[in-house]
Parts: sequence; C-alpha cells; structure tokens
Amino acid sequence: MVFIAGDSKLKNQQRIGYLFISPWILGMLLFTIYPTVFSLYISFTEWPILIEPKFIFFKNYLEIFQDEFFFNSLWVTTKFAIYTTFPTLMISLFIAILLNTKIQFRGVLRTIYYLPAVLPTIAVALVWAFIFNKDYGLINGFLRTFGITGPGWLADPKVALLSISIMSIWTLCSTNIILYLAGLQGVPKVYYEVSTLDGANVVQQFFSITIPLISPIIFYTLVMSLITTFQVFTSAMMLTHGGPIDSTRFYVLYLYDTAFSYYKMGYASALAWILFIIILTLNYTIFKTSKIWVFYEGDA
Amino acid sequence: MRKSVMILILIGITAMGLWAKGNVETASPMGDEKISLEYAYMVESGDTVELYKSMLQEYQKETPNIEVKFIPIVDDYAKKLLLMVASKTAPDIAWIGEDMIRQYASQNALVALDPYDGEFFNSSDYVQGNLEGYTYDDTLYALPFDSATGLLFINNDIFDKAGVEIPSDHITLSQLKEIAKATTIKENNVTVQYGFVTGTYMGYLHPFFRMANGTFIDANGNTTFNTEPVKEIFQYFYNLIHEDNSMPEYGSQAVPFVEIFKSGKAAMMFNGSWAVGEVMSQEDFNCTIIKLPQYKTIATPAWTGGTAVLSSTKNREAAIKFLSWFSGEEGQKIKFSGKFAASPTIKTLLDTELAYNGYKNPKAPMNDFTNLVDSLNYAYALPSLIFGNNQIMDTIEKEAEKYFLQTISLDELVTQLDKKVTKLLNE
Repeated sequence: MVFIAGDSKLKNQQRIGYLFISPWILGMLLFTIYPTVFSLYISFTEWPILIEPKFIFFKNYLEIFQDEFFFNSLWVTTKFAIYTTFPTLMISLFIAILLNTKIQFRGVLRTIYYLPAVLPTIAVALVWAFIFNKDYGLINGFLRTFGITGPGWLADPKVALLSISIMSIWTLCSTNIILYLAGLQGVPKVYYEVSTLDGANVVQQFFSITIPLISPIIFYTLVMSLITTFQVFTSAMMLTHGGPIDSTRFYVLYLYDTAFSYYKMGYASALAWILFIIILTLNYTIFKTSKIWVFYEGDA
Repeated sequence: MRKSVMILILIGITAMGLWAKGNVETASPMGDEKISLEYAYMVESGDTVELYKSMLQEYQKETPNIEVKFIPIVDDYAKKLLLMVASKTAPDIAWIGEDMIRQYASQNALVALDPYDGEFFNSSDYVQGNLEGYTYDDTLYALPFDSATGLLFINNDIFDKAGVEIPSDHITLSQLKEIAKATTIKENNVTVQYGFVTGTYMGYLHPFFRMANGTFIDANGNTTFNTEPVKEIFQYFYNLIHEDNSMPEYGSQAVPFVEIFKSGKAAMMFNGSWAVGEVMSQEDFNCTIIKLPQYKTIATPAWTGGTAVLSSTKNREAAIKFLSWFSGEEGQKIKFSGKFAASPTIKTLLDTELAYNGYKNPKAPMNDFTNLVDSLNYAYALPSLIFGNNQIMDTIEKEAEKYFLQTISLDELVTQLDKKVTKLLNE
C-alpha cells in the first residue's frame, strides 16, 4: 500500500500507531531515560535519601579517586572479567564443536548444556554454595576420599574469586554454546571439502575456516561477556557478600552497598557513571579492533 | 480516532476522580472523626502477626475512634521503610531496630518522644538498657517493646562425655578458655568438635570487650580501639581460634554457629535469648543455660525491638497515644501472654511470669529462668554511633576479618580501626 504525504488517512494511521507504541515510549521515558538523567544529576549531589539532595559539584567524583574500596572493587572486577571471559569463550567453543559432531544423544546433550541459562541465578548460587562448602561440600567431600583436604573455596581469600569465576563460567558457557553451535552450523561444508582436497588438516581448517567464519559470534560473545562480568552482582551477593577480606567485593556490589547500606545515593550514582564510562571505553576499544579480527562474509 | 480521544478523556476523568477520593480519605480528621493509622511490621503472617493483630483489635475496642491498620513490609524491612519515608508513603507508626535509629533520627524522620514523656507514657517505667538503644543525641525516638539478652548455652552430653563439670553462672574468661579447650576434639588435625561457638559479627563479641572494661568509642565520641582492654579481647579470641582451635574461624564465610551447636558439634554457645526455643525444642538435646562469663565486670547486650512514630504522620498525637499503649504495660501484657519469644521491657513485668512466658516449651520443659531475667536487668545497649552506622560496622568487620584470617597483626588492626572509624565518624 502506498501513502501520499499530507493524506489525512495517513495522519490518522500515524496517530493510532503512536497511540499503540505509547506504552513502550512512556515506559522508556519513565523507567529508563528519567532515572538515567536523574542519576546523573544525583551524582553531583550529596543525598542520604531522607533529606533533599545537596548540590556538591564534582566532589563525589573527586572522592572516588581517593577511595581505596573503589580501586579494590575495580581491580577485583577486572580480575574476575579476565578469569571468566576468556575461559568461557574457549570452553564454550570447544563444547559447541563437540556438540556439532555426529554424536549420540546430541539433542539431549544440547538441552543439558543450555540448562544453566534458564535457571535463576539465586538458585544456581545456592547449589554452588553447597558444592563449595569447606566442611560438607561436594568438591571437598570428593577430595577427602583421596585423603586430600580441600581449601575453603569461598572462605579462603586466595581462592574465593576463582570459585565465583568457576560458577560464572558454568553459567555463561550455556548461552555461548548455543550461539557458537548456530554459528558452526552456518559454516558451509563446501569450504571444508575444498580445503581437504587442497591438503589442509583439521587444525588448519579450524584456524583458517571455522574461526574466521564464526568471528562475528566470537565478537558478540566477547562484548556480552565483558558487560556481564563487569556487572556481576548476584553470585557474589549470595555466596560471599564481598568477603572474605574484600576478595570478591565486585564493583556493583560496592555500588549497591554504598547506595542501599550506607545510603550515599550521590556517591553511588557517581560510581555507576564511572562504571558506565569504563564499560563504554572497553567496548569502544573492542569495536575498533574488530576491524582487524572480525570477518564478515559480505566484506570485500 | 474520535473514539480514542473519548477513551483517553474518560481515563483522565476516572483518574482525577480516584485521586480526589484518595485525598478525601487521607484528610486530617477533626474532633471526634474517625482516625486511621498505619502500623508497619516486618512480617506478613504467622503467630506474631496474629498476636499483633489481636493487640490492634484490643486497642480499637478501647479507642473506637482510632483504627490501626496493619501494614506488613516483607524482606529488607529497613530499606523498604526508608524508601517509603523518602517517597512520602510511610506509615504512621513502625517497628524499628536500635541500629536504624541513628539513620532515621539524624534526618528528622522520627518524632522525638521526650515532650510526651509523663503525659502519654513514663520513660522511667522502662529498663534503662532498652531505652538507651532508642536514644540518639540525648533524645528518645522510640519505645522499646521487647528485649533479648545474651546467654551461654551448654551441651550437657558433650560435658558428660568429656568428664567436665557443667559450669555455673559467670565463669571467668580463663575458665571459659580452659573448658573450651577441654571439650574440643581434633581428628587428623581437623577440629570435629568445638569447645565454644558464637556469631561472627561484632555484636556478639562486643560484650566481651565490655567485660574487660573496654569499648569502641568513649563518652566524647573518640574511638578507643587502640587500648589495652580492646586489644586483650581481640587477642583472646584469636587464641581461641588459632592456638587452641576451640572456636571456628571468624569471618564472613564461617559456618552458621547455631547449626554447629544444634548439630552437637560444639560444647558451648554464646547467643541471644531468642535461641532458647530453637535450641531447647530439639529432641534428645540436653542443654543448660547459664549467664555470660565475667571478667573485670559483668556485661550482656540488650537486643531490643521498638516502635516509633514517623515524622510524616498527619495524626501525631493519636499515633503517640497508640504507641504508648502498644509499647506500654497494657500492650506488653497482651503480647507476652501470647507465645512471643522475648521478654518485656517494662521493669514491673520482669518480676512476673511474663518475663519468660514466651520461652516456655512443652517439648523441653525448662523451669529456671532466673538467669535470663537477671541478665535483662543489667543488659546494655550496643553503642549506636558504631552499631547504627552500616559503613562503620562493615569497616570494623573487614578489619577484624583480616586479623582473624592472619593477614594483619593486632597492632595493625587497632591502628587501622582507629584511623578508619574516626574518618567515618567525622564525615
């Protein structure tokens, strides 16, 4: 159907269209745009909730850069992102490749591997709390059968971050496996057949065909994993609440405590904006480098 | 299109009508008009809620023109109430913990009760330790209406097996250490039975500092961590954990201590009196309850629940009148006649059966509540400048955790505590 500009019927249809999308627009304005702008304003104030916010210009931002907990939580989060993101990408790609082969019960296995993605994080955290328990946990119980005394997976400051990373890798892998699997199935078989005729071995095929052709998916999972790991909260809140000795006090957990335990809303908002800038910068860098390593089939 | 406009207008008119109706209902009543008050509590259902509802009904019988509605605020009570106050939807009256007083009172969110003392209630009727918890800047902001105190729970069977005599009240700290050591069992270098357990939270350790005549803050508001009594008690617990291995690790990741005791893996437990029912109701669990140890002085904390009137109430006098009844002798008589596992805060009621009625358990009859009632009389409130500030408490807990996990020395601990807590107090 073709509409002519100025047509009253078109205008009416446009109005009705706007009416239909107005709930979404209102929701977006009220629950996303307004809080975002408001938090920017609040970040320049001192606001202990019960009294009116007091404008203090950049004081919160200046204080953040002298705050040892800010640097500690940022360092913990960065370590967690490194411990989690890259193993997740590699393990999920490896499992996706296995699931892409003709093995028995492939469908069942794919479902099992996807399960962590549909489970609520809180339930998952409770199960892992049992697995990691020092005295009656699954891992240490297993180790005890060989006469090995396991560490306090969540109680030892040297191991706690690693334990949460293991749990996160298990959860994050599930979605990535499905994405990689879809990507792998989209790689035309003819490329492998032709390369086999040319004498390429499996390793050469993997690095010269598979990786380049699924690089857009690797790029997507990398971006999403980084965002997710920098915003990690629930698992630490449930398992360790930042302890022991701040070894799992992630940035968002510190932000949450600042806002809802210490009631420093202005300071917490400033922390949130700094996190936004950090994630933005990281992703901008990845996007910029993607031209070098991400291959799109349509590219010249 | 016209139809859509008409629908929008109709929605607008209906919304305005509802808004106007709401305003009429919440308008301030005059003279003998019926007054509606809201009382917020942290539980939605259960025996306590039924008990409170029956108390509200009783009050309504006595004052038919004041209706008190029960408002449950479930999960994260303190945060939700705070957000209700901020969004101007707060109830008139609310349950309030001692640790919440500083936050609310310092921001004028609570009605100061001193001007009403003598008219609606008499503060001299209440146990001093309970009142202290609700006093901020020398002003009373809530009335205490239930109280718990600290007790030492003894697992009789463990003592029998170890051939150790069950101690009597107020053992010394040295005796506690020796008994804990004698009742600790290690297998393959791993402790399988602890001599002593308590909460890994400074609120549980504070009475021990007090027993040594130590505290975290002096009368002038200066921190006192780097003092001999405080250092002595930190060292005492460090030795229990690391030298004698008679107490589990201290820290945010420690196993819940009540579970350790209930499962028969600890000989002694220091806990609040609220645990009496939970511990005594276990089958085949022989337990004796004695008063806390003593050192240079006797000390036990008073963990108190109270009720306050929010500043935003439009019916201040009616709210204070209700509060005075609800937290007063009449209200507490009803409350502690029911099965509420705590003790009253009115002095005269401590001499009656109501002082321990809520702890009675038909499964495990316990006849002697003298220790519990005695402790209530001299219990003290935890210092609100410290315990009422989450950021200060977090800081203390973290530094203590570092010390108990052996990453800093005792001198470093007290120096850091003085420095960091002083900074936060000055903010």
